[in-house]
Amino acid sequence: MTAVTAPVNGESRQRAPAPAARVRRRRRDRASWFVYPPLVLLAGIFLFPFYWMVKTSLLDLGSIFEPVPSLIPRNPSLQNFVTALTTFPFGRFFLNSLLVSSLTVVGTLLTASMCAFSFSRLRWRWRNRVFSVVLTGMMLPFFVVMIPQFIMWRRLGLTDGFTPLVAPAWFGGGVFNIFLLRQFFLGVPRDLDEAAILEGASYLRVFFQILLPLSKPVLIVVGLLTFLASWNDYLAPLIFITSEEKYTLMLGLNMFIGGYTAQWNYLMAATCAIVLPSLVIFLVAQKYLMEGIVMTGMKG
Amino acid sequence: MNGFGSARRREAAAGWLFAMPVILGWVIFVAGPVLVTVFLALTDYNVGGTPRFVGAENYRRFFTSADPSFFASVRATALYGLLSVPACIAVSFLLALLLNTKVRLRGLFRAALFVPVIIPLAASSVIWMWLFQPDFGVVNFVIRALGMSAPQWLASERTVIPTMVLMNVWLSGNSIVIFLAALQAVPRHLYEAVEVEGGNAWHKLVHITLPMVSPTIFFVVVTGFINALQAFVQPAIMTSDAYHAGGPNNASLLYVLFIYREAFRFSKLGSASAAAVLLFAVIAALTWFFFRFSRSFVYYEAGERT
Amino acid sequence: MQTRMRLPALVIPLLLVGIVHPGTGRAANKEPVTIKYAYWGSPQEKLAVEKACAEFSKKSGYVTVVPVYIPEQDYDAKVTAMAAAGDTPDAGYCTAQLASIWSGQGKFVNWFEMLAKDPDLKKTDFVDGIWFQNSPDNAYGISTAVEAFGLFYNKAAFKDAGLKEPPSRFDQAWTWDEFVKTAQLLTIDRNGKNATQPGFDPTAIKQFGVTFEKWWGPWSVHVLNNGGDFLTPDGKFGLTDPAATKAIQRLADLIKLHVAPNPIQFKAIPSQAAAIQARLAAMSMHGQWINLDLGAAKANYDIGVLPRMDRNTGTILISGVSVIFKDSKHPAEAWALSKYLASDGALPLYQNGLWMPTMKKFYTDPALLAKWAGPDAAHPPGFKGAMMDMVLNHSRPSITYYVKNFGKLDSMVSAALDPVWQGEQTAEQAMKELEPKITPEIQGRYQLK
Repeated sequence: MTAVTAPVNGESRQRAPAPAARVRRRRRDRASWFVYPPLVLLAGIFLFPFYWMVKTSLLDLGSIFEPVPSLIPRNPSLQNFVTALTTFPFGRFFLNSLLVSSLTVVGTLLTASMCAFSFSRLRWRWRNRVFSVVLTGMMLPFFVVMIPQFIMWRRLGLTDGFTPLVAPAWFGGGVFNIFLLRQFFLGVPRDLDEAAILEGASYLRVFFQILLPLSKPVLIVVGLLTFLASWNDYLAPLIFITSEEKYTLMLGLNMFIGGYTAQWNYLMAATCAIVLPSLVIFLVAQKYLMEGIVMTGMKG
Repeated sequence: MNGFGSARRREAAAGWLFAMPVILGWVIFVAGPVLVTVFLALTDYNVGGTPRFVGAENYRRFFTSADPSFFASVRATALYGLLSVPACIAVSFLLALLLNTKVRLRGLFRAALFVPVIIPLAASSVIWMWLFQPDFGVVNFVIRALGMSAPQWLASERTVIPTMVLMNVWLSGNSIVIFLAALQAVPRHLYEAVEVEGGNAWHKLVHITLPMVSPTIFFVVVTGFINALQAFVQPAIMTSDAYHAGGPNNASLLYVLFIYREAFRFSKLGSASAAAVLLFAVIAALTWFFFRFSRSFVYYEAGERT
Repeated sequence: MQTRMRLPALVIPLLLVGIVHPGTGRAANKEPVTIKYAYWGSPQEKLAVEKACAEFSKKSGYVTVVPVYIPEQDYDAKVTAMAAAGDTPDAGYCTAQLASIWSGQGKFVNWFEMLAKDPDLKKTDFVDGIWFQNSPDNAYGISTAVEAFGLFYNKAAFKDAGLKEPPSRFDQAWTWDEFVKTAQLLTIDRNGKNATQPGFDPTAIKQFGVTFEKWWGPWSVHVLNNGGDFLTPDGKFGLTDPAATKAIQRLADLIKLHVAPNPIQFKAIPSQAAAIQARLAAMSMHGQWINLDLGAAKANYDIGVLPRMDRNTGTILISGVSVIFKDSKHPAEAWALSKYLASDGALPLYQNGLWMPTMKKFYTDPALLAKWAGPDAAHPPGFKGAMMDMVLNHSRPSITYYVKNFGKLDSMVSAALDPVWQGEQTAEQAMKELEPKITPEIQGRYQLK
């Protein structure tokens, strides 16, 4: 029984508080000062390894470790970035990764939410049993299924391509995501759906025009996490891709590690470059996620 | 009545239809490979020759300690899971609460806490390994400067798992973001209702926040465990090399690393499959356990229970 | 891709035609052949291998080599997956442990057999001890390169301490006690005191005297030098013998004396080369491949012979394995490529210091020597004595060449040695404790002669 304003045209609107209430709210909602120190400290600690990574990418191999560690790199040089990104065709790798990750995100968002919709809001016999069975797919380390999957793709002649990497996303997109979406959907009141059905709407319409718009926060989260998982995935591309021109960024990264030697400084430089798109996507997603999207329910 | 019956049928049909992608996916990408694995678990297949049926021989080797590293691996993984999940949940929930307030520069703090997750795990494992190097790493340098005794972190069998747990907490940005989305979805008027009745922040937390967010907490706990039991990249990079996988005295030979080693270093796919089947069974049991007991402490707004 | 399916039937008779006309290399009447060569390596290795494959392709006129690069740490996983799907490369690298297992399944071509038939090359053209054999007649692979262990050191560290540099001649090798003494003088704490001086603070060391890694290479060389072995000649566990435990214990004592860092802790340091360069340690007992990094950084270093135990010093040969897969549809081309990469094709890698040659001519022919052996940034003055001479005259194959089931055995020994490096057990205790557990896994030795 929560107060709800039914979304019109799929948009949800924030209720504007009365002026007096607004002033009160502003003063009350401002966070207390003692929240800041721990946040600053934590932010610093969380960021420190990233800073170290950036610092390493500015140094040569022999300076990565010093008898006395220094915070500021002594002879920083951007040369590592230039060398790292030109030694291997990272431009090509970037496009490959972009293609794979975009297709993966789209497929996941679509099929995972479809399946979560079914498991949470539609009633059918065996629904819970099928969900439990499907859940087991989350419990397998990739190594275990890797070889049988590889043999299957090889029989289909689709190895050394992006299909093995993208296909699973269009078949439910990972049980983790279905599970997450399901949990969210379970918390959304069903009154809207039921009203729409009674008025003769198809389930497709209910799905696309009622449920999905209400689920923007969780969809953005799923999209973001899926993107990151795909962008940073190393194992699947390693197994399914052979030709260098189809390498993704992560595979390219590991080319800096040889059997006897490893160019850590180039590796870190290339990693910094790879992290940049992920960072951008996160900042964009964050903006939409937190921009006061308020979930509201139906009155009475 | 007719209308009611066909409405039900329509709903059931829609149910199946919408769930088709994952059902098909499960058959193709999960069931098939798992069947192969279950079969291989009973053989001594090592990729070169043909699989030869040996029955429960692989399991005998595990459980009679003919292979002592099996139990070492189970111990290490259990310890890691039991330490890592509560730590990550507690920290990420707390941080999500902190970030849900109207802190200035909230976006910046949020980004800072999430950055660890964006870095490819292999690269951050290497950095972590360097920072915690006992002789010349930054962390011990600071500790020594503060006058305390410097632990050995990844180099000692007593501290290697706690160090990896620490890294996992650093990587809980995923959970923070998920919790944040859940916190954001809690209707504001519920908090106002508590205020009107004279409640403070604590009441809000216990009576509104926790119940409303409980499905999400449940989700994060279950997936946290499943992921912890499958950790591979960190122990592989931080405590293994080309010849020895598993850390000081096998103290960080986490289970998936054990499977990897059996399969690809020793070329014993039969034995590795046997171990994988066990992992699968344990996770399935844990998940069933969680779902059973979730009914009693998870609240669903829509009145719908699992 | 369809042409590939039809080719085998045509290629073989055409190949026979090609073999009847040796030495031409140009075959206008041959169907084009594509072969896959799998390998790993750092960026320099990658460039060099690709270049060599391209050159070979050009020279042959009809072969196209497709180099398949696989990052080394996951090489086993990827190659295993390929093998399971029947998709192995024609030739390439293989890790020693995997190769040993697969050789027992007959997956590889016998190098001795190919050499006996080959008009250009003979077995005696190669350095001794580089063959991976599972019987006197069957060499399932060849060392990708010659790699040996030596004593690398930072010259500036010696200069600052006013000490004489390690000898680079076999007959002048230090005794172990001389070595330990020098290491102590070179272990310096943050207050500037070395390990022999009172007031030395072992918790605040700024520079270690010597460092070594904890995998089987660095310790087995000393075990072998001292007359011990991983397995006794009759195939029993050999590390419980006094010769072996003494060698291992001496290494562990270096840690106890604080002149060497605990190798478990030191694992995080990016490489021994970085340690020497940054003077985290003055000396390193390590493999010759670090000449690449040290040379590229133009570090101020040189190489000496390893200190000796109770007998003369020596060194071991270690390497990954280069193999030719029996399943290859183009064995002759795979053989030709493998030959090329074991000789002229590998010259750039000899020059930059990563590899040493497997063929004798590179050591005996002055014109060839001048091309790769320096002296230059990657081949300091000590290289000739401490590396080349040791390899040719005082070396033996390392344990991966002749111990069956080496991968499993080594992982058990490695885990059992961890407490030894930590000082919690002596080598003797640890090995005696391990003996009953490891004996069931021992499968004996390969007969090499």
